[in-house]
Formats: sequence, C-alpha cells, structure tokens
Amino acid sequence: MSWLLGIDTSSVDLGVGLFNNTKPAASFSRYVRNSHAEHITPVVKTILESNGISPEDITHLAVTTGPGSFTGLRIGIAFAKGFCFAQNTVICPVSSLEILAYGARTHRGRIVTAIDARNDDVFWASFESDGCSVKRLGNDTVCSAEEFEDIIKQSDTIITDTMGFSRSTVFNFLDKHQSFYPVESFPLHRGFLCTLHASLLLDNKDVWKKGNEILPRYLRLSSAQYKAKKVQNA
Amino acid sequence: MITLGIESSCDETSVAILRDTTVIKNGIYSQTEHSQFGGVVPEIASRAHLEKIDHLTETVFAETDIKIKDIDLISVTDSPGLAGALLVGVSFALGLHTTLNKPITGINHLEGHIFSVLLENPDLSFPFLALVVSGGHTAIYTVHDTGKYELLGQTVDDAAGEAFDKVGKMLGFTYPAGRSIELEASMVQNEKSITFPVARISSNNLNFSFSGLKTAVKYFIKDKNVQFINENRSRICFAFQKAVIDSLSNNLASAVKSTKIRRIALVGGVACNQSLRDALQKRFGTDIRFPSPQLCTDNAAMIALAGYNRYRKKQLRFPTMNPSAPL
Repeated sequence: MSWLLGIDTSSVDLGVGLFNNTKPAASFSRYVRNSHAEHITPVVKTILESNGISPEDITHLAVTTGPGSFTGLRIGIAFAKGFCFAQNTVICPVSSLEILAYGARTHRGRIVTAIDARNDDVFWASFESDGCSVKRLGNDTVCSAEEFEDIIKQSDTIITDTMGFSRSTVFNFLDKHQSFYPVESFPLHRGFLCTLHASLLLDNKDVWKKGNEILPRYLRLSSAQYKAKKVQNA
Repeated sequence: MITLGIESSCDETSVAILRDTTVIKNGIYSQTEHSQFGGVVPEIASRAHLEKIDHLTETVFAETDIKIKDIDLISVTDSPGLAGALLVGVSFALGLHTTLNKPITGINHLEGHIFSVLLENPDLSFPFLALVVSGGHTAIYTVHDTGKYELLGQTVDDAAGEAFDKVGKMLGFTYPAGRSIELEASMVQNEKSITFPVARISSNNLNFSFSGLKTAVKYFIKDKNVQFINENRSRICFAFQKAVIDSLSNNLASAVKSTKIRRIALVGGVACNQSLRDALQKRFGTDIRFPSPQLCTDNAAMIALAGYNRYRKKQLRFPTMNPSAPL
C-alpha cells in the first residue's frame, strides 16, 4: 500500500495533500503569505495524525518545484528533502503550471496556464484537456508579456496567477478575453492537485527521484546574475 | 547523546554531528559563487544552500558510524542572517524533525559563535566576556550562563569584517578580503607614516563604529594615483587593520574594567586574524581564549553545541522565522 504526501509552497498558499494510492485522504490549503516555514510542520503532523498514520508510512512524496516564488519553492523542497532523508523516500517533482491546468481540467480543449514572472515576463505552459485528464503540450517556459499576447491566441482557456503580486499588469490585456480565469476566481487546492498529479504517476518509475536529485526549477537567473549578464552583453 | 547541527545563515552551508560535547564531524561548504559580485548575494546564497544541504548531510553521515536515526536532537540556526538562506536550513531541519520525531531547537547564530570557543576550551567557566567579530556582527556580551547573555556594546554601523571587505574592495582585493588585507599588512613591521582614526562612540557605552574608518581610507586613496597605491598598499592595510584592532581591544579593556570579569573569548570570522589574536593575547594574556580558525568561521558544530547546552538546561525553542532577531 502506498501513502502519498504532497506539498505545495510555490504560491501565497500553503497546500498539503494526502493520498492512499490513488484515493484522496486529506487536503489542506490556506493563505499564509510569507509564513510557509512556520506552518508546514504542524500542518503535516496534523494531517498524518488525523489519518492515523505516522511519517514512516509515507512511501511517496510529491512537491511543487516551480516555477513560482523562489523562497517559497525552497521551503517546500528543503522540507521535502529533510522529510525523505532518513528513509530514502522517493519524490516526484510537480510543475506549478501543471497544477493550474489540473485545477481547470473540466474545461475541454487547449488550456494555457501562466504565472507572472515579474520584470514584464510570464512563465507559461500549454495543455490539452478532455474534461477529466490533462495532457501536457510543451515544457514550462518563460517569455515576455508581449510574446504572451500571441501565445494565447490558439487557446480555449487561459488560467493566470499573479502569485500575490498586487501591482501585476502583465495579464491586464486579458480582461476582455471570454475564457480567461485568474486563479482567484475559482477554488484551487494546490496541495491536493499536486498529490493528485503524482498519484496518477505512481507506476511510472522515471518520475520518482531521490531527494538529492530534486531542485527548484526557477526558470530564471537571480537578479544579480541577470544584471551582470545584461552589462556583459551591452 | 547525539546532536545534529545545521547552519545556513550566510554563505557557508554546514552540517555537524556532536556526541555530547565532542565534535564527531563538522562538514563545511563555503560558497565561492559570490566573489565576482564583491559580496554575498542573498538569492545566489539561498540557491547554493539548497543544492548542497542534503549532499553535505549524506557525506557527513557516510564518514561516521552514526546513522541519521541515532540522533537525539536537531539544532538549527534560525536567526539572525539572510532570510532566504536561513529558511533552507530551517525547512530541511523541520523535515528531518517531522520524520525522525526527535526534538528540534532554533539557535541564534551569535549564541552559536559564543559556544564555538567552548568546543575546544571546555574549562572556560561562566561568566565570561565574548567579543563576537564577523562580517555581519561586532558586539561584546557578558555570557552569564547558557541562554543568559547581556549586550554591553555593538557596532552602530558596519561590522568589523564588513569594513575589511569594503576596504579590501577599494584596494583591489577580491571578496572576502580579510585574509588578503592581513597578508598585505604583514609585509610591514610598524607603520607610522599613515594612520587612520580609531572611533570611540561614547564613554558611556562600549559601542563600535567602523563606517568612519572605511570613509577615511576611501578619502585617503581618492586623490592618489595607482603607483602610490601600489607602493603603499601594505602600509594602508597595516594602518587600517591597526585601527580596527585598537578599537576592538580598547572596548574590550573597558568591558573588563566595568564588569570586573577577566575571562574573555574572541569569536567570529574576524577572530581568524592572527594580528588581532596576537594583539589581544599581548594585552589580556592567558585570560583570553580563541577557537581554532576553522571554528571561527560559520560552522554547524558550534550550533550543535549551543543546542546541546540548551537541551541540558531545558531551554529548547521551536525554530521561528525572525531573521533580524537579536541575541
């Protein structure tokens, strides 16, 4: 029997999910803004206890590896690394853009999911949904806000996430688009969806990694390296 | 009793194993990614910590016969330091704590530095004075007991190590510049042709200031040509280093006078500086103790020892995220 724990700290929410094989057992999602590290331990402990299992019973762990808040990603991944260390529990890295697509899977057709990457850039990926399952059409990428206006032209549904950035403007042009959904407009339990996605991959050995192989997918340089590179190019 | 120490507050990732008060293993990885930027870049530091922390933990355990399940306590630096960097160590420790179901404690980084001297000098008894000098801190404490620290004075602007790095940058050294300045200064014996002011903030307290000294060096070299600087670099380094040492030494002497405590510990990254050690040894004799250089810089063994002592005193506290918390 497999117990699967999922952790998502990529956004302003802390999300934790628990599955027994492919069956959901528990889900937690709460707005915590900048205090993921404070809440993650009691939340995980409570979820395990209330399901009558101990941490040693967890055989698989899913964690969101990005793109998203750099610090947020590191909290979830560092916790996952520590959690899995003693027993060599295997980890499945999950894309935050895929989680958004899973959240919108009832929308049939082509779904583009996007996250504000700041500096007028957008993280995005595209998926195809048949109403219950989601198929990825391309890798997670970063592009400029301008390029993004072209990308959405061939999509049926657009899901956007500003990651709590209140001055975000990159998605403003979508206001008139009829099938545009900001994440705030529908319930999104990222911890649950992260675990769900990994539970569907339980038999796929390739996606399950050792803890020391898991790293965030930032998809961009730190701003110091970015500026240094810009100076170099100029 | 086995204590696991974890430290990631700045640019050193460190994992240590202690059996009671004896260091079994003290694994330290010093990040080299920052030198091209002339200082520690928080985001780069945080990324490097996460890339290293579990590999380092594996290495440390692989080199001993102790297994991760044998540990009795997890001790992790949770303040002060770079928020993103601290969070990597703290989150990793919290993950370990959740599965191992072993007690965990947060440790103040400065408290760790104070304990670094006790790793090799277990006979140093309370109360003693601790002069903590590093790239981020310069402060004098009276250490009454584990968990009981009284701040006597601290820097009102730059830390001493920070002044070394910034002056080093002006003189063309790469970050970190402490060692380079020390080497350069050692080329002259006693230099009196160049002098820099020793700051004294107030006669009522033991605070430090190094920002004025840094500016004095800046203005001294401002209108000098490259040739002059090349010819006088050793003299400038010597005079600057002397001003820092005098400031630290004078305040320490005042602290001894006012507290009547004669036992002293010099800790922190700048305590690696041999000229500083020699000067203080000369002035305070056998009353002053130093950790060996590898225990002066950031390391997890000192964090583990502080945790062990807190455990013995029943002073464990769950890690909190308050990156600017004072000691």
